[in-house]
Amino acid sequence: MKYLFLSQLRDLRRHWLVTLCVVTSLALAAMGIAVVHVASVETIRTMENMGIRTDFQYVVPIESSEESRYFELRRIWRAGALPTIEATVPVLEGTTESGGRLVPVIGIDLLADLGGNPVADANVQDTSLLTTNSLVALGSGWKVGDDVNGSTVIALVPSQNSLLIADLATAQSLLNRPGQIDAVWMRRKGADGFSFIEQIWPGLITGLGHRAPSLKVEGFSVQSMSNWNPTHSFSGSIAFNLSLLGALAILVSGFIAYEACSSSVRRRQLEMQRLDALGVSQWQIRSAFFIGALLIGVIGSVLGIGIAIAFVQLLELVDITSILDAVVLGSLKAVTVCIGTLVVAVYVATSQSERRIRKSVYGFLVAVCAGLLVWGAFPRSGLLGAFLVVVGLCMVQVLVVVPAFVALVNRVGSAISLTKLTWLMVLRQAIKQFQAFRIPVSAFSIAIATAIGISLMVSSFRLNFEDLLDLRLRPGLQLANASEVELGELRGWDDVVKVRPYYRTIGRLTGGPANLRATDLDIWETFRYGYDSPIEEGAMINRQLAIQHNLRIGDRLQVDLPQGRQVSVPIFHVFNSYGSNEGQAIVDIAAIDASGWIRDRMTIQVADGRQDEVRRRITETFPNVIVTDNSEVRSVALRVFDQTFLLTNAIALVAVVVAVVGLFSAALALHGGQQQEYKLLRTVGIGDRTLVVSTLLQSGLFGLLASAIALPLGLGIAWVLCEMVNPRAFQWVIDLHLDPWVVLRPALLAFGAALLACLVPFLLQRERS
Amino acid sequence: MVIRLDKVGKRFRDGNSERWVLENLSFSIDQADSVAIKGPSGCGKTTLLNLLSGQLEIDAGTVEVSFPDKPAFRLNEMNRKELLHYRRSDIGFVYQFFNLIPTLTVRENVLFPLELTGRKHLRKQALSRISALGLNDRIDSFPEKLSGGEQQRAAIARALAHEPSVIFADEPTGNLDVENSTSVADLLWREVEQSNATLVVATHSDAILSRAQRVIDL
Repeated sequence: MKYLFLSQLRDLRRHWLVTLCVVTSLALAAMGIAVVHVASVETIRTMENMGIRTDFQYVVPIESSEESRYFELRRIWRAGALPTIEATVPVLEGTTESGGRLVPVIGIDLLADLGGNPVADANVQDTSLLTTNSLVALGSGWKVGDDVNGSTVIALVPSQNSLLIADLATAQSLLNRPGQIDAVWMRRKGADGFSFIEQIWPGLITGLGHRAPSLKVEGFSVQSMSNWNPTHSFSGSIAFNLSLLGALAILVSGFIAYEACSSSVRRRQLEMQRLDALGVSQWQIRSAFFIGALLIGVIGSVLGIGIAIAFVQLLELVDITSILDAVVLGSLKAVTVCIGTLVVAVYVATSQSERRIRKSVYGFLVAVCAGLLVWGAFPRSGLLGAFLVVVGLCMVQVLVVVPAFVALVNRVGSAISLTKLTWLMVLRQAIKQFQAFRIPVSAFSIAIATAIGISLMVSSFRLNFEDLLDLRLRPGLQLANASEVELGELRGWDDVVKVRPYYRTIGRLTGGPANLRATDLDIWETFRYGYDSPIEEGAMINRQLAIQHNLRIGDRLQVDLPQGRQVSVPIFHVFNSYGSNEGQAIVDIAAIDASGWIRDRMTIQVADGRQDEVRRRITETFPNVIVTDNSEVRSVALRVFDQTFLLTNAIALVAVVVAVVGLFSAALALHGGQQQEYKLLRTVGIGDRTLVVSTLLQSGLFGLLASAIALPLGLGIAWVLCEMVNPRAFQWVIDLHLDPWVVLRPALLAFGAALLACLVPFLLQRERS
Repeated sequence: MVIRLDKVGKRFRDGNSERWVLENLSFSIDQADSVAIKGPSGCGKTTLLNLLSGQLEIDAGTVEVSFPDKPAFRLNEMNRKELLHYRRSDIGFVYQFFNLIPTLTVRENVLFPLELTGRKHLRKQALSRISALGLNDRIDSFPEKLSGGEQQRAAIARALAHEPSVIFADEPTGNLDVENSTSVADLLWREVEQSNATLVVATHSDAILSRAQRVIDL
């Protein structure tokens, strides 16, 4: 065995350039996996800090607000009619005024179930304290000991949003709703068991968890928590998006690693036959190759993890020290995937029944991807279904499209007859090369298609977003924190054309919270939301609210307000909104009584050219008011948008780089094997320049074919992202806009990269020979 | 005289050490001569053919080449472009194996040198040589579909297609069985004689050594 390992190591050293390419491919693959993992964990944590954390999956709205309904439900549960449910907790929600601000309050019966609710984060040692007019405060601006209408803050939880959590009795007293509840939260049994999967693939369970299986209870309406805790699903969906890219990076890297390893084993087929003749067992041969693969795998993945940590630190994406556990797990994942792929590649390539294994695996995989596509097409399959459609499309590309395209190119190429034999040779060699590179081409086309798909989705999204901003942010000034501004005074100023105040409150719709805004819904305002017909009275709601509560144009929006008041208006328009998937309604001020609502925002239309003057005057007169020009808001919004998708583009780029390195590695092996052919060509009188030109043409043709094959998949991925993933994840509707330049840019990158990846190995080999 | 070698030497470097494979080699080859070069493995037969065919640089001595209707020239004084032209126009080469371009058919392989040299008027003769070598039914096949003997016959047709002055053959029968070796050797001699070319063969084969007019022992 000693000599076998020695020969393996010497082979790695002798073909150092190929070894280097495999190591680089693996390093990039490991880097992609680790960066995506860490970024996903960090994203979920950041997003969860924006809202409250709950581990409940169901909400049962109690329309009558009677506490007795909870006891009824609890009786059913205790009788064993809900075997999947572990806990039921009555909840009361509302708002209270504290220090001039309106703060949401949640009351939870802590005695019913403490586990999994946000109070658990507060690390309150003696929970009995919570039953006596005590509060846990989320968000900034609170300190222990603060008094809120007779109750005292006893613990703090860091969060980006303000929220007060109290025991149910305290909340009932604070909100002046004795004996009332709004909903019952329910937690599934064994839901925590999935936390391990969530740790390995962040976003998978969070992304899917908010789509708990539907549950029916006689006499109650059981709804998914996702509609009631939107930030949770939002963060999960974003993480899921990143995980999808990570999965694609794994797929691409896996193919590259597989092909690089397989080709190096196939290259030594003759040597294996000799060893076999000498009486070396297949197991011994395989062990030697395993050791080689292990060595490359460890070096590549450790290198990749190092680059990933440097990358994350350099871009200041994450504070690594705060999520060391995620870094360790991400690194382990990267090492496992890289080495695992190599081990499988060695096993298959050294197996004598390789062809038979491939054939049966092929049939199985084709059936799997057909199943994924069919299942994912059903809207009920949700976000997971949409993602599996992307995976299915990529598998179809590898298993069906690329082999069929290669066969077609081969057939067309054979039918072409050129009078100039040099060009005929170039053409045929390009086709032969294309045929030999089936697997790297598959990986390459997936990477490029991902880049095309994501670029198209992001550019379409950006276009939609820009259109939306153009509508929403018409020329004028926005005033925030403007409670103190007297409307009459502003309206009296010379350069002010129109002052439009906005009132807001949080009400309850079908037992869940609803953000209400009220303003003068004239044509200027409604046009901002894409509605340009005159209206009499009513409300506009966003698509998220429409989906969450199954509301349509013409339905009546009925929202319960504090102090027993109610808003009941017809819905005349449903608009798109991006940024969060919270439900929102904008009501015509003329149709409601907005007394008691908060009026802290307004927009001002100003006479042409007088914006700076009015802005300066507002700042001087009302120093606490924050004034922003709509054009500034627009650029800030676009900047935030671009930053949000920067990581997505970076990961797509990593996938492309991995694919190019893979192609380079394959081309290197191919040119290495073509030395005899080059020698012959030189002997018959083909000059170096002709050889370079012909290799350039071959590589160009190859790049063209590889880019061409990526285009349909890229368009397919873009379509799935716009039409399936985003609507299912965020209820965001994105109109796919086929910008030729956005499609061509990654295709040209692919062309250039393929050209270089094929040409450089030739030049290197020429130099060596 | 076609080729004259005067104190020719060739060395190869291996790291810091260098090894002279050929040293002080002097002999001449006449027009239409058939010369066999023999010697033990590693003595430099292939290196010598590569030197004479302009594929390797000469490290010592001179190689003078003179063809009937051309002024004489020295290989060791030619630049890369001139050597390329020499290889393209004046010589034909037959290797032990890997003689044919895998992406071209037999017909295309044979016609390829005519395209490179611009001697398209020789097309008819080149095609009739394919028939004469018994490859008519394989004319549109790719090399991978041919047997070893067929590949060597196609290689002979390709080497002679543009009517070069000298044919170099490196172990042309080394990869064949006895029957095929005899057949290929016969055909090689017949075709070279008919085209009045000079033949230089590196070999171990008795069948070839017995046909050669001269044998040079390295």
